[in-house]
Amino acid sequence: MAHHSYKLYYFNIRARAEPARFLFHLAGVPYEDVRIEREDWPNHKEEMPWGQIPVLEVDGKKLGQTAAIYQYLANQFGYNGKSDWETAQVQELIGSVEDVFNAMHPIFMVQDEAEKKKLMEKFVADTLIPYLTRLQKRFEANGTDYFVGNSLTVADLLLMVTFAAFKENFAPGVVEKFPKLDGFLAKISEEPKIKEWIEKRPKTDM
Amino acid sequence: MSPPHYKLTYFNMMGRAEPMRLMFAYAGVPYEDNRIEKEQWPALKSHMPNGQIPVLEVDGKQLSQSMAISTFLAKKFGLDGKDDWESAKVQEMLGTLDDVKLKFRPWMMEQDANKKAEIFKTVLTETIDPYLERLSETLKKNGSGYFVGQKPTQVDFHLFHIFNWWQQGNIATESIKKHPELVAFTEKMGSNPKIKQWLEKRPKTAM
Repeated sequence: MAHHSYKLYYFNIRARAEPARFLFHLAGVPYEDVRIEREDWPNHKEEMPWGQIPVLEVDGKKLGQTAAIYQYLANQFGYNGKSDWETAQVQELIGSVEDVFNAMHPIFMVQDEAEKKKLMEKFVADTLIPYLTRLQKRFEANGTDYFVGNSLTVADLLLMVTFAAFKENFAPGVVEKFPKLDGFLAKISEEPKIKEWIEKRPKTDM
Repeated sequence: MSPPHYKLTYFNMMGRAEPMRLMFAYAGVPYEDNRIEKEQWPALKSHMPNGQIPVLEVDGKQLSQSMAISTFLAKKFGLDGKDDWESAKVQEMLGTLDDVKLKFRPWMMEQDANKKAEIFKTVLTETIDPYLERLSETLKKNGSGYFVGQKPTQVDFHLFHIFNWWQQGNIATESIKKHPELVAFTEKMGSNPKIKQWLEKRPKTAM
């Protein structure tokens, strides 16, 4: 099998890059985990194809867009489902997480703390809780330890990272109201290679 | 093995479903074009797996999220690039288009005509013009007349829909005119007999 050289560019946080970092670790494939400090970002922006990160570089060629990066790596390493239909479900789940973050993102732009808190509460009630309710139903209906089929996919990795982010940063106490989702997070985090990366990765706030 | 039965459910408009309808037409694959009126939506919402449309039903199994639907069909119709890298480049372009569409939202949501015009001016200079510039560069650099690889991919259908819609609605006309390759691309796609046939027979809606 051909050897490729990989570089992943992102900020020094978990967030959008983390599922990709997990994929590399699960596959046992070496890569350069390039972490750009926020103050340094303006110096690098023009190097990136669409002026954004994360970016994946494969043998010198750059690829932007989080979902494209997840799909590419998941395809290379075998974490994209076992059929076209499963792959579509993986993509559906990835798209659904993106929708939730798009709904939340404008709230961070708000300066007034009281306003921000109100908007966050509305987001939790109107968007997050209905979303987690549907996700939990879907997870139960699938009947395995995973969201798609009966093996780990990049959708599971993204959801794991996302649930952890809500618990630790954005909406503490909410994921805990969904025992199956909280249970999924706990169980997946114990899988050996996943646990290994969680333990050895740089410790960051987000 | 009998071909799958496809049903695409969306509002009676082009919007997020149109690139898929264009692909069905191009591939010559029959499907049920299930259009629902806005008043019917609240009652149907709870029946959709994620409370959203478009939804693609394949032999009774439902799939939501336009990119998932589009990619699933693109793979079936040979419109997803020739290898994993091209397929990833296709996803990258779909993602950047989605980012651009997000920036349109305030303009689309605004009801007041004056405010709407003001918002559009900003969207034009900050988002549309730079984006068209990038698209034009990408098309020229790729050199095949398509945005990724040597043959049509789903990206070409998504972008054709946007340009065709703008043409129809006289949106950003001056901006597009600055890019003859984008104009030529739109004409080339539109003159494909299968696409042309669909454009002529499809229900006429503003969006």
